[in-house]
Amino acid sequence: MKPHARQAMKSLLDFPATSQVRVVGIPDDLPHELRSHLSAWGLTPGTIVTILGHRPVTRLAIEHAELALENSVARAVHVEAFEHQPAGNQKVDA
Amino acid sequence: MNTSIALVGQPNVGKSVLFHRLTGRYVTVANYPGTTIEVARGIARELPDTDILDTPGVLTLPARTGDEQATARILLEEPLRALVQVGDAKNLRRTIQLSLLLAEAGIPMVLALNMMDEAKARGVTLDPVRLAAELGVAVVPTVATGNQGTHELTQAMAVAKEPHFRLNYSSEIETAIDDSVPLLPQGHLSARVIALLFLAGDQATESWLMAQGADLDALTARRDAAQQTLTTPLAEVLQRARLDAANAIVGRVLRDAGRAGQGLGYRFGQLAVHRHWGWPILFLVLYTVYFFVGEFGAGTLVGLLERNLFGGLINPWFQGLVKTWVPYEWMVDFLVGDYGLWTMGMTYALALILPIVTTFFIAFGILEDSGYFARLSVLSNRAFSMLGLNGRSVLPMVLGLGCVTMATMTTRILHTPRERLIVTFLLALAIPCSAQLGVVMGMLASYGFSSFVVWLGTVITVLFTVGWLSSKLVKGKRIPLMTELPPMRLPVMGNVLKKTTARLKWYLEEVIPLFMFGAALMFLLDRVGILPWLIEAGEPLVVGWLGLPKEASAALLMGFLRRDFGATGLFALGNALSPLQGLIGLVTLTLFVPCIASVLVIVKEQGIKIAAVMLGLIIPTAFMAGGLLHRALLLTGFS
Repeated sequence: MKPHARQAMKSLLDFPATSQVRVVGIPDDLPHELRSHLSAWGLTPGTIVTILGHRPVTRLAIEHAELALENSVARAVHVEAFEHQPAGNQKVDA
Repeated sequence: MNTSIALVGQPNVGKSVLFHRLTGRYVTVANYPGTTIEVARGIARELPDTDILDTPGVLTLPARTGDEQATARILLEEPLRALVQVGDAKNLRRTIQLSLLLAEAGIPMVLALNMMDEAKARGVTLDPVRLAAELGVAVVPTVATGNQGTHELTQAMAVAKEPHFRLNYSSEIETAIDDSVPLLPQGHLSARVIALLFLAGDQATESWLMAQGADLDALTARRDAAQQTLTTPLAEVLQRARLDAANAIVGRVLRDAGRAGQGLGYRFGQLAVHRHWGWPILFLVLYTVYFFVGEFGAGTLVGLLERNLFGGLINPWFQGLVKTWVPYEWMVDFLVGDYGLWTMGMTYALALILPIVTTFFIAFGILEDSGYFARLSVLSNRAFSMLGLNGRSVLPMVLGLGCVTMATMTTRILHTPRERLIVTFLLALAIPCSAQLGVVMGMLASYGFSSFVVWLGTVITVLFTVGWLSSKLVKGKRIPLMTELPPMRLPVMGNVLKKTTARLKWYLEEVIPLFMFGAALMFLLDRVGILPWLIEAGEPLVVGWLGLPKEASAALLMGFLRRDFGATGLFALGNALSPLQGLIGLVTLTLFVPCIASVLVIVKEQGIKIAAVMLGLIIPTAFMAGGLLHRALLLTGFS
């Protein structure tokens, strides 16, 4: 059902709260000014982030900073699962 | 001899707290990114002949918003003796990413690793000595709020040296730098850093180059040529190179990355933006503020001051004194008559508004420092998206509740001119500032909580209706929400009190003279017969349309001077107004023209034409909303 074909790629939206993921890339179709904000916060390929929740907007932790991204932006951040020791018993909404 | 030292760093890392520690000069500090929007200057206490500059936070360079550009301009234009990068010890990667650029600027530098206490609490341990060796700069761990490490920092600042550091970028970038350097004018920053900023498209750097008479066309051609060799925008290539290098350094200096997401503050922060729990928490916060400011401040404290102290003691005594000693009747009237300088000006300012704004500033300061305000951007995002904005716009609006003038300047933290325009307009229309809010709450508290809800509902309805219309009229695309949420913290009472004192000082110095001026003006208008005439002329509108007694015209007239002044005029009418009339008068005044200072700031930020259009729209809107509410309330039988 998804319109695009690069669907093997997963985005921040595809992982539940408390998962740790590694940023793979941000596609070019995201406007430049949005990309530059993401990279200013350190969301560039290779960065490991922890997902904190998805509603009402996606929230994630990079280092010890918390970011809130609207789902349209979160969808544009391609990530892959990152294997790691369990990230504590955080209680976060899904 | 260069005598300035600038504090530079990312938003919300404590630069302003450190500035206060180093200079003794207080600038507003709070727990949200973007508190400082202009450069502040103070004299260092322990360093002779040295100015300290506090700058707005920059996440990275190039600058992306108006406040960040102010910092870029300082770096370019101010002959700095040294710069102190203030960094967040628990977010080492982003801190170092900025250090990697600053360390090449050719300016002596010190890195203050601040918030060591928070880093420790989260289990972060690092090796500052190793970091200092990696970057070639002195690294001083600090806890600015606890005044730890500031003495060591001062010592390091006194002997700061230019770092011997160079980050090697990819060969394409290095070639582009080498190509650009010969075309660059001599500046305070190293040519290499100016080239890096220009390649990344920094606007402040471009303006600076233009002002220096550099050959911008030739430079741009070289930048374009460099971009041709790359598939990603240059700015991102540079940023990524620094982030990668920062990552490598973090890997060598960090002993323990700690655990994110633990503790009570974190839990509360998550609940505050929870899709269900967020709302009851918001309601609870609003109700607590209402109770503290409306019931305690406007009820209890005003009662004590106005009725007992001023009404019962000071005013009768002063009136007697004036009547005994002043022989001219007009002068007695000028001082203690109905619109007298003392009866109206001073009594309003000191007995009515002062206790209310004091309680409001305390509540506001606590919320500001807790980190709660930034979380409202998540909760309100959906509502703001109807206005073609995103939740980030809530921050200037909430700050407007403190001071609309300051908040209008804070719109600089927004990402696009379109957002700035719409938010500025809505601030001018529908956001009451602390002084006015205080009086409004005071009056509404005497009418009961349901009146408060009607007032709030009407103002919010107008805000969103007008905002929705403006978003249709102002062209441009909506930017989705992307924002940082600062950690939730338990506010330090000392800081809240310090901030309240600073704001009260502002109130006493700026608002009271205006009140006196207003009282004098009203007296004059009354004397020469203009006021009675205006009250007569305004009758159809005030009495017919709004359903208020005609004396309320004077209050509306005062509203032109300052909205809170007008609201106070309504307050003073007291029992002459029914709760219904009071409510309508307050809604009309809340939507009325903002104070003179904020009009001036709108002119400064948006230009005189836009300011005039805004005022032309605001006045009819205020009366329209007041009249419609009047009819709606009559229909529903509200009393």
